[in-house]
Amino acid sequence: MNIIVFIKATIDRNAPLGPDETFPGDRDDKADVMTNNYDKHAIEAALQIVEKKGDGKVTAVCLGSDMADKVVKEAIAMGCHEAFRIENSEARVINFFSVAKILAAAIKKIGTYDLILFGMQSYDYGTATMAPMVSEFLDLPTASWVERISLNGDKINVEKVIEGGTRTIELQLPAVLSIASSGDFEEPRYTSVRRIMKASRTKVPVWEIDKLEAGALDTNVEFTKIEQPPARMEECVVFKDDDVPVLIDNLLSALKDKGLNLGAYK
Amino acid sequence: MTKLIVVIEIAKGKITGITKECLTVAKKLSEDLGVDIEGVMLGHGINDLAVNATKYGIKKIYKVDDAQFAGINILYHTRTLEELVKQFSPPTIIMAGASLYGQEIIPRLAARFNSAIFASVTSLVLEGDNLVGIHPLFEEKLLGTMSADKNQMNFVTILGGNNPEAEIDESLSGEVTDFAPVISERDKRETFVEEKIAKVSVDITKAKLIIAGGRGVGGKEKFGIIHETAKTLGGEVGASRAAVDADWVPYDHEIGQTGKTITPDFYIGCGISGAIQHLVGMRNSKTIIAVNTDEEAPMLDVAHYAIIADLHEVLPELIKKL
Ligand SMILES: Cc1cc2nc3c(=O)[nH]c(=O)nc-3n(C[C@H](O)[C@H](O)[C@H](O)COP(=O)(O)OP(=O)(O)OC[C@H]3O[C@@H](n4cnc5c(N)ncnc54)[C@H](O)[C@@H]3O)c2cc1C
Repeated sequence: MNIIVFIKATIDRNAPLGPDETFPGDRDDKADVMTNNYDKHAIEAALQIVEKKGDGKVTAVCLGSDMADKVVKEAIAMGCHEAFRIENSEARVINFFSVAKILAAAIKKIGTYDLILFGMQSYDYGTATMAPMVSEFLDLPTASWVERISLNGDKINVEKVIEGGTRTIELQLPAVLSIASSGDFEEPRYTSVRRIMKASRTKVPVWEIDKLEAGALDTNVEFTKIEQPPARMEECVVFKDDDVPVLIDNLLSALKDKGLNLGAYK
Repeated sequence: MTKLIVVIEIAKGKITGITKECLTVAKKLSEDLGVDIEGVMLGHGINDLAVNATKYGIKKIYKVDDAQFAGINILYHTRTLEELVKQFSPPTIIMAGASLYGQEIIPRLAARFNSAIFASVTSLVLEGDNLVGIHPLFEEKLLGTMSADKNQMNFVTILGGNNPEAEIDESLSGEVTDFAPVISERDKRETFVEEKIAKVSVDITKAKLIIAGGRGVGGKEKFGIIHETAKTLGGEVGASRAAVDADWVPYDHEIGQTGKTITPDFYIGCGISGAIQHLVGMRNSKTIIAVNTDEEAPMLDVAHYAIIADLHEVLPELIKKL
C-alpha cells in the first residue's frame, strides 16, 4: 500500500497578517510558518492505514519555499517514511489551478501509488479544490471530507460527511481522498522530542517544478486583489481570573451599559 | 449569448437552501447579462421538483431522472454534466452552491474542461468584460478578489450564508426537458452504498437567543445544563457538530456549514472552540458571548464578550442571576 500525502506550509493563525498576504512560504519570521493543521489529519489517516495493513509506505509531498522544510520534517517526525519538497520560492506559483497541475504531475513522476490524500482544506486559501481537481487531472475516483475508511481488496469503502449525516461510497483504487478533521482521524498523533530532533537532521530532497511536465501553468481565473475586510468595531471583552459570580456580574453590567438585556426573552 | 446554468442540488427531497442562495446571485447576474437562468437537476423521481424549480425564475430545466442517480455518484454526475455543458459554446457560466456536493462536483467538472473556478465566492458580478467574485482567505481574515473573462467558460461555487434565499413565485413557470444520463465504464469505479441523514423537526433559525453547547460540555447528561439554561432564558438550544456527532443533542440543533445559519440577538457558545465550519453559521449573530476555559479559542475572534471559566460553573450561576 503506497500512500502519497500532500502537506502545505501555512502560517500560524495568531501570526499577524498583512493586507497583501499572498503566500505563506516567504515570511520574515520562520516561526510563523507551520503545517496546515488539516493536513495532519491526512497524515494520521495515511499512517493508520499502513499500520493496519502491516505494509506500505507513506510519502509526504509539499509544494513550498525552503521555509516549508520544517513542515516536511514534521511529516517525517510524525512517521511518514519519505518526504520531499517541490521548490516554489518567491511564490512562483500560487493559483490553485496550477498548483493542482503541479501536484498531479508530481504524482505521475512518483509513479506507484494506491491512495493520494489531502487535508480537507487549507487555512490560507481554503478553496478545498485540490482533491477534486487533482483527481480529475489523474482520471481517478475521489471523495472529499472522509471520516472513516475500510480497505476491501482493490477497493476502498469511505464514509464521508454530508449535510446532516454521512454517505458511504466504494471506490476502486487508486483513489484521491480529502480527510475530514472529524471522525476516525480527528486526533493526529503527537511526535516525541526525540523524533523531532532526528527529523530535523534529515536533508529534504527538492524537486523542480520545471522538471515535472505539468503543462501550461497559467490560470483563467485570477486573484486580482487581496484586502482586509472592514475592521470590526470592538475587540472581544474578556472576563477572567475572578470568582464566577463576579465574572457574571461584570458581564451583565457590561451588557447593560450597551443597553442589552439577556433576561429579556423569558 | 451567455448560457447561465445553475446546478440544482436536492437533499431530503427538497431543493437545498444553498442552491436558493446561489439562485439569488444568478438572478442578478442574469439581469445584468440580459439572459435567462437555466438549471440542471440530477436524481430519481424528481419531476415535481423540477417543475417546482421553474417557479424560482428558472426558464429551462435539464432534468436527468434515472434510477442510477437515486444516490449521488460524483463520477456519474461529472460525466453527465460534462455532456450537457459540451453542447454549449462559451460564454457559459456553470454555478452551484458551495455545499459539500458543490465543492466536489464543480472543481472536478471545471478541471475536465481544463478550467480554474471561482471557488467558494460570496458574490459574482459583472464588471465590464469580467466576472468578479470575492473569496474569503485565512478564515475570512482577508478577502481575495477573483476575476475572469466573461466570454470564456466559467465555473462557480457560491458560499452559503452570504445571500438571501431566492423566493418562490407561483406566477412563474418554465420548460422541463429530459436529458439522458451518460455514464462510462470508468465511472463505475465509484459505487454509492448508503446515506445516513438525520430527520429535522426543530427549527432554531427563528430564535432570538441561542445557548449552544460543544464538546466542552463533556457528555450527554451534562448537556442538560444547556437545555436548562435555554429554557430559563427563553432561548433555543444550539450545538457544534462535535456535540451532535457524540449524540448528545439531535442534528436539528447543529450550527454551521453542515447545520443551520443563525443570526439571533444573542448567541452564547459554551465549550465550543470556534472552528471555521461552526463560525460561518453564527458569526452574524448580533451579540456573541463565549464561555470557554481557553482564552486562545478561535471563538474569541468573533465574540463580543467572553467568560474564561468552566461552563458548568458559569451557567448555573447565570441562571440564578437572571
Ligand atoms: C466537512 C465538515 C463540516 C463540518 N461542519 C460543521 C458545522 O456545521 N458545525 C460545527 O460546529 N462543526 C462542523 N464541523 C466540525 C468542526 O470542524 C469542529 O470539529 C467542531 O466544530 C468542533 O466542535 P467543538 O467546538 O464543540 O469541539 P472542540 O473543538 O473540541 O472544542 C471544545 C472547546 O470546549 C472548551 N472547553 C472544554 N471544557 C470546557 C469547560 N468545562 N468549560 C468551558 N469550555 C470548555 C475547550 O477549551 C474547547 O475550546 C465540520 C467538520 C467537517 C469535516
